[in-house]
Amino acid sequence: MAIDAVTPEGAAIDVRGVSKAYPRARHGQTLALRDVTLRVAAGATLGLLGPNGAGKTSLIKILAGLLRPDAGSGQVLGYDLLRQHNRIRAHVGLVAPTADVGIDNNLTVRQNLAFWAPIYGLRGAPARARIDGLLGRLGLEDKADFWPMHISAGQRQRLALARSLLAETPLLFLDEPTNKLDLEGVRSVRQMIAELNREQGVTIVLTTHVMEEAEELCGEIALLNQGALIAHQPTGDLLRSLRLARPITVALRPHEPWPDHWQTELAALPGVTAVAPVAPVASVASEGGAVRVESVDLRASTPALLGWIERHGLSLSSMRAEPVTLTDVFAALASREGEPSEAKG
Amino acid sequence: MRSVSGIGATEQQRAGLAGFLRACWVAGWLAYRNLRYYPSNLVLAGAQELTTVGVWYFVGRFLDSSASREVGQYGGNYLAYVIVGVLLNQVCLSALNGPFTTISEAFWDKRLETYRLSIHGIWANVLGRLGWDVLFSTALQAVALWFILQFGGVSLRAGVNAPLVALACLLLALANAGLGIAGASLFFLLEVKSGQDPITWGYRYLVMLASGLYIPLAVVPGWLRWLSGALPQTYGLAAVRLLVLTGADWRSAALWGNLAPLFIAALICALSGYGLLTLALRRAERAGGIGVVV
Amino acid sequence: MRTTAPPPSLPPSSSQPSSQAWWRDLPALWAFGLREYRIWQSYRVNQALWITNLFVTTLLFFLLGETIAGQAQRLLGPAYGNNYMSFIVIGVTVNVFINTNLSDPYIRIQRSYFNGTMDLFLLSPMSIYTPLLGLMTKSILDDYPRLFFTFGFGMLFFGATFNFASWPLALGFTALFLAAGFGLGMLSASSFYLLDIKKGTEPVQFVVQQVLATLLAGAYYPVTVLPKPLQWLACLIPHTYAFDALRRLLDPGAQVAAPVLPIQYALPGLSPLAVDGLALLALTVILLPLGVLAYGRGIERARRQGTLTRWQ
Repeated sequence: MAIDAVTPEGAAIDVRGVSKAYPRARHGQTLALRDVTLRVAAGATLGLLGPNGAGKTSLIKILAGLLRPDAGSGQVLGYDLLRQHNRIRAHVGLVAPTADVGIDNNLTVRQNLAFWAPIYGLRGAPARARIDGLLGRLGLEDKADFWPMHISAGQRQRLALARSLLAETPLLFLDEPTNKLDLEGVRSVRQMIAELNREQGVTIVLTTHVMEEAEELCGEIALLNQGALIAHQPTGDLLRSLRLARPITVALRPHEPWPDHWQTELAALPGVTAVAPVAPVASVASEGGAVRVESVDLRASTPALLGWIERHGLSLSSMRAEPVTLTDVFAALASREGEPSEAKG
Repeated sequence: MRSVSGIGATEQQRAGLAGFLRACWVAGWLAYRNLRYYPSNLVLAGAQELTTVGVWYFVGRFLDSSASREVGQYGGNYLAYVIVGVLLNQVCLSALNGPFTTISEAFWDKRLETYRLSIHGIWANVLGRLGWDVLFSTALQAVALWFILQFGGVSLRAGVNAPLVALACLLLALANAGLGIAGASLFFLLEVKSGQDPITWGYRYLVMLASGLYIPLAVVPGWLRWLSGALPQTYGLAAVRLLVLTGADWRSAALWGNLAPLFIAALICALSGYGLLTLALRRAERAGGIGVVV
Repeated sequence: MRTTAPPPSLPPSSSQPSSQAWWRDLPALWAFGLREYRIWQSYRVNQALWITNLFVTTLLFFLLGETIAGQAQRLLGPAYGNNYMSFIVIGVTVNVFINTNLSDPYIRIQRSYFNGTMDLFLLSPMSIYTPLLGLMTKSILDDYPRLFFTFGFGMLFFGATFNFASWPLALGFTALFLAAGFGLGMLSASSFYLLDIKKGTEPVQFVVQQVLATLLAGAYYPVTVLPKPLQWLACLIPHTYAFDALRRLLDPGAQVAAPVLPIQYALPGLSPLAVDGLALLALTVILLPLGVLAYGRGIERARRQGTLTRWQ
């Protein structure tokens, strides 16, 4: 059967004016989403970002057909959001923020997947082949006969991913997929998500609190705050438009002093908004050391900075740009809100 | 209402017996609040207990005409015999099951370590909740007894020796509480982390079959009857039945023939319970703690 | 408003079903059954415990039965034969069966909510009813085999005897009371979402099973022991008819024609067995669709309120 996986315009998700409020006992309602309009092209990876309570999970549940919006309309995978929610549910995958959801500790890793396969309509030899393939791709082959409680948190998260991938759905929702993972777990899950999108063309909607993760994985970012979609742009465009000042730490070789007027000259480089020594100024001038440069345009500042170092015959020890945090983004958005003449995302 | 952490919050002011009793009171109050959290639960919990009594009331009525001849020494009325037994046993069951449930719930809710950190530790929680369970059950059984006496065609002997009845009931509840606490110790000693512990589980079945609770001892086969002598319920139920159904007083040799072993049984059970749970907690702490590891 | 073919970037879709036909859910039901069987196998102590439980219950009533030696016929009345143990074995067995169908759906829904899997079950081509049926497999595995143990204990150790000549009819009655019980079970389960009863005692199950059935349906004594108004109240639940019909059909010496229930006296033109059959049929016809409808409504309400599951 062919899945009608996109709208006529080629969007996997195309919803307009979605609102949702939850009833609260004795306290009226809690507004979760306000008039959200969102369009995601098939094959895209969207990062859905926002602080706790911004409405990310509510939006995911609405788009997955698990929650009925109070207002709004649209299509997901070509199915009507309001009238065909059961068909939407049959064709989307979801990984909950807690890996343990959907994993039974009384069954081995393989038995867990074997349980879910028929639920997604897979049977017999194709099911076994698919399970073996997923175990291999996710690096769980040697853990196939382990109990879930005897594998690491990262491996459990990958098992949760494997469960959702069994269904081979064209649209996958990942709610904080790297939540509670160690560095190795984060790395392997991110790699898996990237491959899934690149190699199989799965449309991915990913929620996260980590801006760095969104930057790494997502071609576009949607920002939610207090239930409202406050920005939705390609990742690069959004970061550039916000003119986020990103700190770059530049260190010369030990005891190599910075030249005269280094502060003035660095401040004049393109994109640079501030310059400050990590150690006291006098010490930097005589003894050398690290300097912190803030840039709103890394693509312009980085080559200019390297050129300046070369021109002065200095020996670079290290140069590192700090990642943007979600707090930085929201602070920048807040300041942009205060400038009515600027275009908004 | 005080919070759970209140049990250990101002420990300096609450040391000593008065402080311990205060901590027990807080734990009992919390158990009451938990039951009330869903408004219907208090009523439903009561209805559940009363249904059990109701079932045995009708079983008693059904068997009364034939089984009464087997309970001649208790007044010759099987319906009254079984009702008194069931009411008393319901209270005993709350004492028997309470401690394991308290430890198990606190463990899985990750509260057990917090209790342990407070000056009165887990004991205040176990005994406080036990007190509440027994009181609640006693109140329910009292309502059921009143109802049955009014409308159920059952009567007790006039001039019942109330202090002796209270003494027998207290000793029996104490014996069951001791067994319940001993059972709760198996949560750590045998790692019985869910379901029911073997001590109270086995004891309940033995009581059902061999204590004379439902089945008159005259009918219990010989191979089961030898177990009867080891069950506090056998003596407690017999003593109370003698007091309320035959009007026995403190001069009755049959009464003391039951009260004396009941006293010894209560003492042994209470001391065993205290010893075993203390040992279990010490061992669990030595083995890596009493809290749930996630 | 859809494209006729998926874009090349989309993954193969061979695993997706083409329709929601009920038979497409059979493999999923099998998977649930297999999973529950595997879990059931890993708790051997529990198996020993429930066999012991069953044995003790049967023994208890055997010993109680000893007190009415020689008077069973008089106490039970002509409809239920002359063997109290046979009477009790049917009472205990039917109670276990119907209790499973009535009480289990709520418990399964409750667990799926608290462990967060309800969302995942719904994110599949399965019908919303399949997870409920599938999850109940555990209790069916746990409870239905008790039939053989109860009958076995009763017949081997405690002198129960049965007349199996009418077994096809007994089977028909069993199917009917199980269906009616499941209808009540669905109503009970739907209260989880419809009435927001997420913890504590569920009222439908409590009132019907814990109170009415235990007290009034006649599992351990004939309903004639009850006062008349309570006998009429007993006629509102399927348990009463199941006990009555199966005892008439299976107990030795039982008379099919002797009325016991007040409704059987009120309908003298019909045989008591026909009254039982019609009452069970009526209860099934009413309760089963009502349960299915209420459960569907409950899911939809939870979908509106965002309470299908809890991810914690």
